[in-house]
Amino acid sequence: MPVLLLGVSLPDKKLVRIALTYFYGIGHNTAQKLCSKFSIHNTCRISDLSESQLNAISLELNNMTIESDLRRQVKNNILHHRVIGNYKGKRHAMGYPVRGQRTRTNAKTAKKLNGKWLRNFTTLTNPTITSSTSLSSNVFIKPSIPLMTHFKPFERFFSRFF
Amino acid sequence: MSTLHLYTKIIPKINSIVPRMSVGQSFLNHPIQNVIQSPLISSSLIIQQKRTGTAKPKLRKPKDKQVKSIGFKQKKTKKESSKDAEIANASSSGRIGGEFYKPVPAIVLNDMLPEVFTNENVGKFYHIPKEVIPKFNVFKIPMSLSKEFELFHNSSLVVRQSSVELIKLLEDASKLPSTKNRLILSGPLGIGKSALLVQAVNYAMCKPWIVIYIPDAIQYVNSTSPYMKVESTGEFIQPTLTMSLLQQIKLVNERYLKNINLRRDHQIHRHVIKDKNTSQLLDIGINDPYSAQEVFEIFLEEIGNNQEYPVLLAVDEVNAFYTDSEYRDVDDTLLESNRLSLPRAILEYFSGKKDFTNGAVIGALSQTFKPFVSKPLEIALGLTEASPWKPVSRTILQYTTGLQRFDVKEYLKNEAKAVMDYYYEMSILPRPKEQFFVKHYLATNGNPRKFYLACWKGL
Repeated sequence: MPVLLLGVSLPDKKLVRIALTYFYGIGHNTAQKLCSKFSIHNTCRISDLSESQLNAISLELNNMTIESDLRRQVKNNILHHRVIGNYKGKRHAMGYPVRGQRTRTNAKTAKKLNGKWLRNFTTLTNPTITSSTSLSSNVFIKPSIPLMTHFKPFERFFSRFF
Repeated sequence: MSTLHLYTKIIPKINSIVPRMSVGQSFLNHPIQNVIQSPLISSSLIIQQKRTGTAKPKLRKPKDKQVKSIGFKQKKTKKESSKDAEIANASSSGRIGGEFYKPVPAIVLNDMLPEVFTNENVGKFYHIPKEVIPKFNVFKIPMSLSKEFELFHNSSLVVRQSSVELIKLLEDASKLPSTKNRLILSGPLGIGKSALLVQAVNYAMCKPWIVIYIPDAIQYVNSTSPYMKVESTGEFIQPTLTMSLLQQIKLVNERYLKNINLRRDHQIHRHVIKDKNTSQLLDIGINDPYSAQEVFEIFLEEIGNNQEYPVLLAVDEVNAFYTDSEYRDVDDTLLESNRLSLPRAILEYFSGKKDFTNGAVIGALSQTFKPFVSKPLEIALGLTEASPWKPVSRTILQYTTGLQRFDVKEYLKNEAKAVMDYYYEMSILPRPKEQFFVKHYLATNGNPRKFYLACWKGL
């Protein structure tokens, strides 16, 4: 019978220091630190833990940034680059490598992973406002219309009118 | 499947035609080879015959001891004639046929009683007495020894020169306080330290000693049992481990513990202990694991004070108590073993801070597990030199004061010869020839474990 802790169900039979890694934001290192803080031995299974120990662990986890808090933090960090319109932000948006790797060949991991934080995010430059303010690009977030730069020809035509 | 059985009734027994494969239980076991050879069986049967299920070992009558080729590795099992055992055999390992297994030879050996340890008896095998075996089952024996005993179906050990010396020390120890008899058995890998300790424990169990035997100290410090911090002392207790140790001690020494009454009253948390004997004291610890540690320390004090029965505290793999354990402190640093209360209580008797009125404290080193080899202990015993570049923990060194080193030597020639004869009788060895003995003895330099492997697997 799995134990539900902070929205994540931890399977009963697993070792505690492995099960804690199932949280987003906890790896083997922090899991080990958590176990040693509550004097949990290496071969302790989830089913061996007492109620009080479980409560203590969940209290500690509440104080750490994990799961949705962490995700929000990471997203905001990358969004910041996009908002200020720098090179890193553009690369994240296009799904290309950010740290100066080559794109002539071998950019597969970046293409797979880099775009995910900025799905459903767009920037549109409003021409009227930029004429009054000098050279700065204002940002309007409209989740429905994606960026113009990586469109296929038909999508570009379609998005203009619909 | 039913049609197959119809045909099986008509066919005559194929035993006589093919003498190589003997009695088969069901028709399904017969390989197709047999069918082809015999002219009586029609070809339609060949098609219908299918081998289903796993091959089962066939029953064989016990043959006389045959000498097989030397290079052939021989394993032995008990003669299993019952069907349940047969099925168990079929599923346990990939055994093909019974012709490779011999029945276990029945050897009659004398019991290893205390009188046996004299110089004339060096090189003779003795069986651990029947009354002592259940006591060893409670404490458990080190893994390597227990495997050997299982293989031979026979728990017996050879009396060696070293064991005679060790037993003599124990005999003197029964009159002296334990501070004078703190031994550590040392020596290279596979030299027989654990076996020697088992012999010493066996001696104590035959006599009216109180025995505390820990066959694997590594299990106490490798973070496999629950632990918790005690704020008042700053140490860590291991409730379940201490409780199980108390249970073992009580089971083995019940008879003598009933006679020892507590000298003064104690109070452990809620329990008030008045006018009780040590056996009842242990009960308190067994029923309440959180007080087990204090019960253990009081117990050691009480049996230490008694004059009737000497006490033997024997710990195998004792180097695990002299290093870092795998437990971690609250701030994630590795704990030294002496920060755990149970090892610390035992170390106090090793270091001489506390003692038993009569008795001995014996430990045996073990080099099988590299993480638990203890540099401070080896430096204290004089086995290695301290490096000026690597500091040695002072807290560990304080527990090594005054330990005596007992070196276990290799097999003498007569001991090795006796051991080889024993292996021959136990049908591990194909045949004892003088040249084999010399070859094995010289190549292994008399190291017992290597000698055993050489005899068994052949050089």
